[in-house]
Amino acid sequence: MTRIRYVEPCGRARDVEVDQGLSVMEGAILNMVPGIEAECGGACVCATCHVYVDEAYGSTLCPPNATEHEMLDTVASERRPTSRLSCQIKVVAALDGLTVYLPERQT
Amino acid sequence: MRPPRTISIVGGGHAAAQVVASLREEGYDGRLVLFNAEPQLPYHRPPLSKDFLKSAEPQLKLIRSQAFYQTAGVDLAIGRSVTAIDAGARRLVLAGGTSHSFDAVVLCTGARPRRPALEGTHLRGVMSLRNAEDALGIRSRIAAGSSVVILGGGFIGLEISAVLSELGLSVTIVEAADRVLAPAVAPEIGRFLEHLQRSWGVDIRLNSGANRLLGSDAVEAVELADGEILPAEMVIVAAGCDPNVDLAVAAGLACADGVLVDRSMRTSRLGILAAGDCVRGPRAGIADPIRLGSVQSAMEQARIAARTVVAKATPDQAVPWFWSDQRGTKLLMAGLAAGATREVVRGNVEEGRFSVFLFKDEHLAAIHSVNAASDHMAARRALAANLLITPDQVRDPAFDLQAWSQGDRDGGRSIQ
Repeated sequence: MTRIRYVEPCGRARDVEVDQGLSVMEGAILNMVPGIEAECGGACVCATCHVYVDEAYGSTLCPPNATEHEMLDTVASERRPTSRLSCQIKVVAALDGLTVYLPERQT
Repeated sequence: MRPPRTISIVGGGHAAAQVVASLREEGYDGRLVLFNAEPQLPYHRPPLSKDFLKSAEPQLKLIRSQAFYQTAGVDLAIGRSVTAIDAGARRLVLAGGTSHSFDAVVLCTGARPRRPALEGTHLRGVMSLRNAEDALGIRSRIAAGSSVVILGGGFIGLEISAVLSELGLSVTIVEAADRVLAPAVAPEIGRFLEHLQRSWGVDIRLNSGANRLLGSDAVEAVELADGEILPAEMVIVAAGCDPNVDLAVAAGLACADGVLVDRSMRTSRLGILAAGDCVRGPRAGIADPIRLGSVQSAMEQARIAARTVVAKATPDQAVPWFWSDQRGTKLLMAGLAAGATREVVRGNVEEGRFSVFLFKDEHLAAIHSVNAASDHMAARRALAANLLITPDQVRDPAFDLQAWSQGDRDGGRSIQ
């Protein structure tokens, strides 16, 4: 299990233990973290699981692929350098303690 | 009208799960009961024709966790089939004869694979794909080197073909039309995917059809209309699907190849609503009610149904969208292409990265994209806002679609 911290726009934080191999998006859905829609279930086609990742983990994460890059152009809240689609971040041991910040809106 | 105290949901797909979630989000605090004939919680169906078939340890992706239903206070009747609706008495009759009263019910009964009238479909090894059980059945018959014939070159057929050919099966697709994905998808894209599938070694027979399936106990071959015999250890019938309307018809609800609903998802009987693949409903700008079989539509209809139950206003319909995935090639569709009179291509077909803009007369009706997610997202914004674009602008690489979709009429090419 890997601990992921989800921070809502209001500042409320939730620490969740997520099974390795699941995505950061699935960790949120399975633990009822509000603010992630994930309408497509993780197929990288809807851009409704947008998060901002903690900069400290920038080098630990695999960078977004071309499709994710394109989808990130279309997110409903501001795109920042730390923007990711959480369905594309696989949870691995090295991400233990990762903090992701949820945007104001997904649609 | 007082708010209902018991709401029943019949079904176990995306619509059913979303009705439950949306009712709670909309503030409904009465009793909620989910009747799902399948033996598990609602799960994502799109992966069944993709990753689920090839991953070493296939796992269903639940749409909502068990904990969600507990916290939301949903009574789960999992593995319980509803056999009849007594609309007058507002009762559901369950398999085994028990009954269950409701104040309102939302039918999310989905659709089932169409089984053509064809000799031999009862043989072992004749499969179709709709639910987890079907997908497990197909998985259990996957053996490298064996032959499979897929009847139907639609989305499901092509997606299964992409996976099975990758796993080393010898795949033949038999399609009645002169191209795959007809009529749903732009011909240019159908041809592109046909070539792509052929490059994977898939044998695609267009303008063709099965006469009958041959075999004694298990299926052994498909006899085509022209008499040719295609050996097959497995036959997958992927010839579209039909809405599950049996319950609704028996209950006296108005149905016409789908449970008929109004824009608020109300059926012809008070207190009975419907959402998802089982319904046929009105669409702005289209004369006759239509049936949309997609995750996005199911989720949208579920949200609307929930709002109707709690007497909230019905929002405008979103632009319909849909996706398909074939070995990493991503097909994205926005809008409704039916009746399109002109197609204009933007991007590079040879490189496998392009979009087809479908016009109905002067107006953009739909955009179908291959590996061009940003075109797709721009299209969804533009279709929602009814933006104008000309075929020349579509073809112009310097025309900035993103800027256009965000309200710049000239796509970054301002004319003085």
